[in-house]
Amino acid sequence: MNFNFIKNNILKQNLEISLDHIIILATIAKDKNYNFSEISKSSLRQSIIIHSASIIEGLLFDYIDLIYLDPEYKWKLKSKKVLYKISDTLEIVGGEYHREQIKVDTKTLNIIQLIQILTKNNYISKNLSHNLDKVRILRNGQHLGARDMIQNFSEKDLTFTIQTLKELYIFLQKEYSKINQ
Amino acid sequence: MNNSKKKSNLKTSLRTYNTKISVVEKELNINLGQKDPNMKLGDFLAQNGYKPLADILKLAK
Repeated sequence: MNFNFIKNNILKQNLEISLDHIIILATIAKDKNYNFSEISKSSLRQSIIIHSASIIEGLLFDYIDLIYLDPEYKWKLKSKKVLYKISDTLEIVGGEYHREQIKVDTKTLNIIQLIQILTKNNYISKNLSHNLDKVRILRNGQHLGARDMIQNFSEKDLTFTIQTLKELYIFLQKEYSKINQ
Repeated sequence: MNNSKKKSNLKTSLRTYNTKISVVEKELNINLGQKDPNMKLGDFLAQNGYKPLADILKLAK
């Protein structure tokens, strides 16, 4: 098994299935009986990138559940009273300003939020954060409506994505080993 | 029902670094053009542009 450091058994199996699917796609791309067009090659690479990003998201999700995050706060205005109306778009107001803790439900976080929280709390390096975000942007190529061009997923994009997945995998193997000691 | 309590009906047969490429070729009905049918899948991936993927499989060995 490739994800033995993950304790959540369902997540572990889903990660294994996704990685296995990447292996299948990577292997099929090398089939000598089929001559893939450049567009087909790009689409195969895109599929691998999407599955890699999915694994990355799953791994970050598990990691963030495992570590302690400093609570975050925001200021909230209560009992607001308009003291003076300057115009339809500008008012002088008074009231009570309360500092409240933000409750984060980790289950609702998406990949960009996961990366941002882990970076902000110094759990992942700036370099890893940067690479993960680049994979996220490549993964977002799946949103066809947002594209302003025909996107070609290159060998370079593919190698970068899998290299980043490997980088995260090695980092987490070490981190989980430390946490479980 | 909580997700963690659901059981999957999917039976997974996962490929590893040491899986022979002849097995993969048969399962996927493909031809990888290799002379040695006993070649390890991990070695094949490493030699065909997927070294980081092969490395992940190797790390899990």
